[in-house]
Amino acid sequence: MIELLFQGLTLGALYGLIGAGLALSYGILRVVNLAHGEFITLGAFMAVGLVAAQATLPLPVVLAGAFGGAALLGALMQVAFVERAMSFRDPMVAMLVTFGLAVMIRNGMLETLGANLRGLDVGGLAQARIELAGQSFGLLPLVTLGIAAAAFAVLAGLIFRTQFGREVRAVSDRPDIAAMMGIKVARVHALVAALSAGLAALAGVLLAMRASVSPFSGVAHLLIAFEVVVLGGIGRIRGVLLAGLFLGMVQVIAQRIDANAGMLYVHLTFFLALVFRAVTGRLS
Amino acid sequence: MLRLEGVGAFHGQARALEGVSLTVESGQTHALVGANGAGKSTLLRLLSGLVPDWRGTITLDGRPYDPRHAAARGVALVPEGRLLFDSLTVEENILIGQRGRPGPWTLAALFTLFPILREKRHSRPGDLSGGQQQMVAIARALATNPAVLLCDEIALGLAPKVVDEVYAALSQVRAQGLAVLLVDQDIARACKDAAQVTCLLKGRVSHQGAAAGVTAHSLRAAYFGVAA
Amino acid sequence: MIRPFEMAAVALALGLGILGARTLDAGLLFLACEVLTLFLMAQMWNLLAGYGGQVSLGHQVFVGIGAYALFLTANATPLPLWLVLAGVPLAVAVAAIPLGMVMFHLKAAYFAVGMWVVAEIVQQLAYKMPFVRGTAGLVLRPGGQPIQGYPEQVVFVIALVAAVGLMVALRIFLRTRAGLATLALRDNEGAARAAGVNVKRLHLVLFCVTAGGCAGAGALHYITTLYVTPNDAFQINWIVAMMVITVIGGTGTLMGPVLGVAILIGLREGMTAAGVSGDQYWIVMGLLSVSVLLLSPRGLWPALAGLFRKG
Repeated sequence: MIELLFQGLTLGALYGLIGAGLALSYGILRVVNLAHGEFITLGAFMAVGLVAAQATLPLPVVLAGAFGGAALLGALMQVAFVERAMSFRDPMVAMLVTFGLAVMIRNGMLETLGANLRGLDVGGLAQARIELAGQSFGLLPLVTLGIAAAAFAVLAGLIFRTQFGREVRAVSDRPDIAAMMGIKVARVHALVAALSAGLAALAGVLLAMRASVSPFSGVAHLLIAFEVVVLGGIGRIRGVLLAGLFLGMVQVIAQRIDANAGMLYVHLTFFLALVFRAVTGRLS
Repeated sequence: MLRLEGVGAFHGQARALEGVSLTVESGQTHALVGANGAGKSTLLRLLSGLVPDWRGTITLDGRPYDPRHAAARGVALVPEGRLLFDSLTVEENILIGQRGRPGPWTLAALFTLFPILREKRHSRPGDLSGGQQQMVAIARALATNPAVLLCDEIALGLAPKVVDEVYAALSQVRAQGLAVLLVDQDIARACKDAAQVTCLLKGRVSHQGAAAGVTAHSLRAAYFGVAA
Repeated sequence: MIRPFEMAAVALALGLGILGARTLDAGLLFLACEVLTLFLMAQMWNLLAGYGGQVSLGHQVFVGIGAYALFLTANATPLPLWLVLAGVPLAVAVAAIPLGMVMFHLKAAYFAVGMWVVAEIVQQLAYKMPFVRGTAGLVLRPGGQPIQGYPEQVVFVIALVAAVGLMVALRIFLRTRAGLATLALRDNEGAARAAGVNVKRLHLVLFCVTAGGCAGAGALHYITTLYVTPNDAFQINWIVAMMVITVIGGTGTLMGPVLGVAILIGLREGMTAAGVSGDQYWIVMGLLSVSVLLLSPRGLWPALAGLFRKG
């Protein structure tokens, strides 16, 4: 029972992290970045690549490398493509642009890395267990949980305690007044895109440590991110974490009951919650 | 000194402003009055860079003025409806526009101007009264240490006592050498401490002159566009 | 209602179809069928997104449902294959009514990705349903017997007539009151509603018609392959193709998907001949769709048509 809770917590924290980046970008940019899932996969593959090049790299360096690489790509995409697409009257144009970019990234990965599943080999960490308060826990999930929690804490600190975070919140509230006050809105957009992509990549590395990832995984992860964001509330970090934990628990319990269902029960839960919310008029 | 000459603007297909000329001097209030839809808000928004489609000439202290650089040139707007940032606290709202322009309006100075805000510094706009929100909006504009302050209907929805407080604060502000362009539906109140008054009618200037002695009655022809 | 030129076009399509089926070799026929079914799907996506203003990222679900509905019904019953084919679009369109009514509570991006979630759910369910035989796949055996003759020939004729017929039907439709309402919807939904158009009902009609259309196209396609798996039937590449064709070719115009599918398949055949890999091809298509969206958001056809009008 505790084991189940722990597993749900760990997976849920990962789902929350996957969603956090999307929540940030959708909340500020008002565009659903359909390439978000591809950043998750990219992060995983960058980590695999880094470790393959230099097997003794410490984990923090691998995480930083994946984060930085993805953040750079995210900012580039925003500046070169999405920012311009956002100026069109039809909001679907920007979303479709991100869809096209996702196709490019996914097939770029397929082309250069092949369709195979890859995981991050963490050596003995995968089997190690630790005793806490009389219960045995896997060390790897514990580390994953810790890193995810730390990422959330840093994100919250960034949003609520820095000038950058204040500008992000201001742009999210009233972009034209923020611009009028001298905030460089396009720059905030680029930094948010970078942060969002970096968080996705971080989640990707953590995912790769516990399971294999392929260039086709991006779609599944995008849908998870989207579901977490919608259930948690746009732009609410705490809500995203709670929604992630909820869906994580659903997935872990569903796996126990029906091992072959993939993400079916999570999707069904989300769909029912969405319809209920929409019908009762509580969708923003 | 802010000078406008022949300023016009479009709102979609409709002409919102045409041929508007006026001057706002430092240390003075220039009152801008007119009926609803006359173009007063549009003019202030234009000066703040919120109206992209405009024409005419605007100079600030003799140099050409581009409204898109309002913050950099020291032109600050207190928007109609306040339009505060709801996710930011009072203190964060006030400080968000600070860009290091030299001037007297530090956070401490603003809390002296509006003492109630010091108590409420960590509250969000949603928890404040209308009057307090108005003070935050003014403080937010002042914190940028502007040369020109644009005030759009700052008395809207406020109790008379609160309005007096706000206008008293505005006098102190003006004493620091700011140029103030003030929009108010109440002509008497707008002209009370103003040096000049401009009345707009359907986007054009229908009256312009000294504010001393001007009343709603004396302006009614220009205000409503009917024969006096 | 129908103009002589339009009737002639359908008749010509029938004639050319029969001629082509008799004379073209199998490889070319398969390619032609592929082009035509992709065109049908893209035109459906265009109808919903370009005219109805509702971008769906989940219409691949109807492609798969159409294929499976055909296979399961044809295999299990003595009904003639082509009768089942005629019935699939109708059945799916009707079945889509409750789904549409539920999904329309969602707006814009929520609707788009919500449909994608629906597609995932159905695909997962397809894996689990025993009679679908999951990843082992289903072989088309109408009435339990192996298929006779050359189905791709018949598919070619049907697909060609369907494609031309669809264009004609849409042209006629857009001349009717409901059609004008649809155009109003395309240009300005708010104004359309204010003008008295029953926007909700129109959206539902478009949703169901496009669902049925995709199902029919999917069924047609899988008759030529004679084999279907959930992975293939519900694959994301269907919606990517629909979107890329429409976005590049032209949204909200009838000729857009024609141009789009010509570009999609033309480039594919050209690139394959030049030795470019499938993944590289999709990178190019992704880049092309992004570029067109940024430079000419309504697609290439409206831009080209505009050039001709000016010149």
